Amino acid sequence: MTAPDQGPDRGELLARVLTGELSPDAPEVRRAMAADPSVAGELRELARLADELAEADAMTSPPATGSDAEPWPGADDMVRRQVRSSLPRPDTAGTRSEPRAEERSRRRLPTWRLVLAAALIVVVVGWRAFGGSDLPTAPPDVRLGRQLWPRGDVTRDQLLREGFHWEDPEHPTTIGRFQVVVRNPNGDDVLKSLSLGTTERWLPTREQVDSLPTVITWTVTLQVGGESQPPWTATATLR
Amino acid sequence: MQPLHPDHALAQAALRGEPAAVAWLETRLLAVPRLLRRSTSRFGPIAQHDVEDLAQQVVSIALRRLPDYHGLAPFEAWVHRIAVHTLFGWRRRQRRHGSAGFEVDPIDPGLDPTTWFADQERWRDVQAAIGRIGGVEAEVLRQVHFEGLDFATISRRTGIAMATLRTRYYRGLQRLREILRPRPGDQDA
Repeated sequence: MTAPDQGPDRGELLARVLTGELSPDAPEVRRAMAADPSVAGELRELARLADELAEADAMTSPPATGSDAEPWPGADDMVRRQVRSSLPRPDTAGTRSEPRAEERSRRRLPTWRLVLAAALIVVVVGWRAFGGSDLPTAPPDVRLGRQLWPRGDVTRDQLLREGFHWEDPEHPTTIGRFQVVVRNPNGDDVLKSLSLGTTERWLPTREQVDSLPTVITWTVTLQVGGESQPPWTATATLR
Repeated sequence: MQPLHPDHALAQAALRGEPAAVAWLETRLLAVPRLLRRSTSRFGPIAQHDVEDLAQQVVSIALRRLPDYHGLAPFEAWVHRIAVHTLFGWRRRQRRHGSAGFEVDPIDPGLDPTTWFADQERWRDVQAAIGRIGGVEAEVLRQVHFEGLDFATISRRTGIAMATLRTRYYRGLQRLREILRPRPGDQDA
């Protein structure tokens, strides 16, 4: 066997790792690192440089525009939904900028609402006084990301068994209510769950699963305090 | 002081919920999936669900950080930068963990306007350094990083053995490292 510090072999090995042909955990890489500790340092340094090269190319190439063809079905819809659920709606923004309207609506508050508000304050103060945890002051920043299932190819039986599920590893006990909406490739709603509380799974019925088209795009949205968080979307093909 | 790009006023209007500005923002952010599809083709095969997640992640960061959009460059350039940083962060984590564990970078270095121009300069330096290397080594670096080709494809196209290509690639990176390495006194200049 050739010693790892001999030029061509070491170069070839590092080139394969840097371009992703070989995992840094591959036995031959581990052996080379054990035989010569400088291999690990060089690999780190060259990996940074390779990233910088690709980044320089990506950043100096002209940015993409929205006028090209949709790169995958539902991509544009996904962006639009995220934007609409994240920005204030014009009517909400308008009301916020009109203190007089707010004042008028406050004056019109019926008595039962005042009683309810007072009861809520008592509950919150009591909860805090007796060691309850702090209530969230802002909606949690939910990142469901890869945790959505189903995605890719799945069977209808699997979907029936597993249901739609999601997970936010950073906020396992989220305060809020989820809702699942399933759309067909044209973007029409074909199935919608009720408001789901803090569950992380929704099991549709056999009839509901059977009624779904082959390709579905589904979205899970969290509502906190009446406001929707950015939705997360996944696409699945049902066999 | 540099005047703010007109996109800055539109972004602020979108934050206030003005319908025309929200529509403008929506159209601009439609670039994100296209940009990711184009950029990821350079990294070899990336699963479709990973590209979809990355796109959602980038749009989500852009919307969350919209109040920080500095207006020093067009909005697309700002989003482009978030997308590239997110993509590279993902790739680095994948390389480290050997799987696509999806996390969010705690900071978005690309959003700080003070580093904006410094980075632009650095990227130009990197591009220029490849030009200085020249020859077969620069050619392999370009094919791998700018065209997204793997060694097998380059070998098929050129008839050069894969082992030779890998060695040229390695030598190219070594030379690039030498050229870009800060020299004593560079920091004082």
